Amino acid sequence: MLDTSHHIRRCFVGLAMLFIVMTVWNLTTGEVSLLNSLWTMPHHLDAYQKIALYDFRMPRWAMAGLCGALFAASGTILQTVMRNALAAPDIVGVTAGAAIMAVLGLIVFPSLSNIEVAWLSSAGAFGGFALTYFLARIHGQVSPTRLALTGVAIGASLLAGEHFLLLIAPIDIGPSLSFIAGTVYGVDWSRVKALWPWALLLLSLALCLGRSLDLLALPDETAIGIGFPVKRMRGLSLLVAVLLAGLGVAGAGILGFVGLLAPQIARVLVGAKHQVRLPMAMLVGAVLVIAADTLGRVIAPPMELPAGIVTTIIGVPYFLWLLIRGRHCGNY
Amino acid sequence: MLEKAVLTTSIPRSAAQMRQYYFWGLLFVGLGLLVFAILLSLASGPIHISFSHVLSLLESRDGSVEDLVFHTSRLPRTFVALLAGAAFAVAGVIMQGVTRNPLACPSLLGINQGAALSMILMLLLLPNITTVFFVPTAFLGGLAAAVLIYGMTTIAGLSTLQLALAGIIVNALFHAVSRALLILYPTSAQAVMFNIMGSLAGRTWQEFHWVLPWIAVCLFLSFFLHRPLTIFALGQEKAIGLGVSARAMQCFCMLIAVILAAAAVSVAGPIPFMGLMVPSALRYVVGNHYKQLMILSMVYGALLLTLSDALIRVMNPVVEIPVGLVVALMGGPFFVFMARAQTKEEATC
Repeated sequence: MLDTSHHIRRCFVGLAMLFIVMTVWNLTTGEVSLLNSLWTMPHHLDAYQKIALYDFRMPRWAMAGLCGALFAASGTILQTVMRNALAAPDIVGVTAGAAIMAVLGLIVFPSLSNIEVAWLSSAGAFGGFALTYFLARIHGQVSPTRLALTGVAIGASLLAGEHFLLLIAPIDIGPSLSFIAGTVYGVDWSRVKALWPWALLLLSLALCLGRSLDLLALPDETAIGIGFPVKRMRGLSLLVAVLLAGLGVAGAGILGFVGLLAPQIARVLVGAKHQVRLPMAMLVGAVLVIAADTLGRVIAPPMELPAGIVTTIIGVPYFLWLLIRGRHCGNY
Repeated sequence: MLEKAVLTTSIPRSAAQMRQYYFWGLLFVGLGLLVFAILLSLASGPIHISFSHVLSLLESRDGSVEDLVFHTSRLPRTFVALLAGAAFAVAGVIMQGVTRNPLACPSLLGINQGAALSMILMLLLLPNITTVFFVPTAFLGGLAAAVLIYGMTTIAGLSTLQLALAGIIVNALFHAVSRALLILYPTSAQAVMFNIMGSLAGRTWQEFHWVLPWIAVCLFLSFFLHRPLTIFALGQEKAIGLGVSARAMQCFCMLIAVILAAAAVSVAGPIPFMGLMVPSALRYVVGNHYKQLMILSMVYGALLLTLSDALIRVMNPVVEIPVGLVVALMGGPFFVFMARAQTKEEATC
C-alpha cells in the first residue's frame, strides 16, 4: 500500500515537472523568441516582447491547458460510465455536435458572447451524444464497437455539415469560426476569462464524482446491492462529461483524441482508481495540448499547425493499438 | 453456366423472374435519370445555359461565351463526374464481394484518404511531375492503406464492424496529415487545387484524359469479375471446391478495385461513402446477383455523383461547395443505418 501511494506521488511530481517544462517551452517559443531572456524574466522584456508574452502567449497557454484538462476529464468519465475504452468525446459524437451548434449559433447570431457559445455548444454536445447513443442501441444493448462506429459516422456527417455552414457563411464570419477545427491560435484573454470559472466548476465537480465513478465501474448488481443509486449517478456523470466536452469545444474547438489518450495514459500511470486517475488525466491532457500547440508552432515556422491536428496524428495510432489488442471489450 | 446453375438451384423461378424485371426497370429509370443529370450538370453553374442551348451546343459550336464555358469547363467536368462516380461505386461492389463485408468500401478501407495523401505528397515533393504519374501515385497510396488496414484486421481477427472502425480512424489520420501538409505548404498551387474534401470544381480535359484509360480499362475488366464475386459470396470453402484459385483471384479483384478508387480520387478527391451507398442500396433490390449489381452500380454511381455535382451548382452557383461534403452528408446517416443492420454478427464486441 505504501509502495502504491509512493508510486502515485512520484507520477504526480513527474507530470507536474513535465507540465512546467512544457509551459516554459510553450511561452518562450514562437516568432518572438523569449528563450534568451528566460532567466531575467519578466523585468527586462521590451514592450514588444511583453505584448507577445502577456497578450498572445499567456491566454493561449491558459486555454490550451484548460481545454486539455476538460477533454481529458470528459473522456475519463465517458470511458468509465460506458465501460468502453473507445468512448471518447470525439468518438461518441459529442464534440462534433458541439462544434456544429457553436458554428450555427455564431452564424445566425454573430454577436454571441463567449459564454453563450459555450452553452450552445454544450447543448449540441448533448444532441450529438443522444443521437449516437440511441442509434447505437439495439435491444437495449450498446456494444462498444457499434457505439464507436455510430459515433464516428455521425461525427463525420456533422462535420461535413459544419464545413458546409462555414462555406456558405458570410465572408466576414466564416474564417473567424475556423478555430472550431481545433486550435488555440488567436485566443485572447476575454475568451479565457469567460470560460475559466465554469471550467473550474465542472472540473471540481468531476473530481467530486471520483468515488462514484469507482462504484459505477463495478457490475450494476454489486453497486445496487450496496445501496448505490446507479441510475441517478450514471446520468449525472454523463451530464458532467458532456458539459465538460461542450465547454472544451467552445474554448479551443475539437482537439482530436485528447479525450481518448489522456485517460488511457493516466490509467497506465496511476491505475484505475478515479480519485487519482481523474486529476492525473487532467494533468496529462493539459500537458498534451500544451505540447501539441508548441510542436505545431516549432515544426515549420512561420506556419502553424493547429494543436488538434497534432493530437490527432499522435492519437490515431494509439486508438488502433487499443482496437487490435481488443482490450476495450469488458476489461476496459 | 456455373452462375446460372447457382441461381436456379438457390431461388425459385418466379423470384428470379421478378428480380429480372426489377433489374430492367431500375436500369431504365437509372439511365433516364442519368440523361437528366447530365443535362442539368451541363446547364447549371455561374453562367446558366438553357437546355435547348445545351442541345444545340452539343451539335455545333457557335462561338458565344456559353459555347466557351460549355466546351472548356462543363463538358469535361460532367465527364469526369460520370467516370469517377462509376469508378467509386464499382470499386465498392468489388470490395464488398471480396471481403464479404457489406460495410467495405474505398473510403471505409482507408483507400480514398491514402490515395489523396500520396497525391498531395507527390504534388509537394515533385511539383513538375507529368500527369502520367498521377494515377499510379494515387494507386500506391491507396494500396498501402488497404494493405495496412486489411492486414491489421486479418492479423488481429477483427469483426466486420471493427474493420470499418479501423478504416475510418486511419482515414482520420491520413486526413489530418493531409491537412497538416496543406497548412505547412500553402504556396503549392497544384496541391491546393486538389481538394481534400473531394470536389470537381475546375476540372478540364486534361484531368479527363489522364484518368480515362485507367477507369475505362478497369470498368471493362470488372464486367468479367461478376463470376468470381458470385462464387466468393458462397464462402471460401465452396469457392475452392468449385476450382477457383481463391487467393489469386481475390488479389486480382482487389487490385482492380484499388485502381478504380485511386483513379477516381486522383481527379475528384476522396469523396466518402460513394462505394458504400450505391451497391448497398441496390443490393436490397437485386440481391447478390453480381452481374446485375455491377451494371446498376455503374449507372447509379455515375448518376449520384453527377447529380450531386449539378445540384450544388443549382443551389449556389457562386460559391463552389465541394461535392464531397454533400455526399458525406448523405452517406453518414446511410452508414449508421448499415451499421445498425449489421446486428447479428456481434453481440458483445
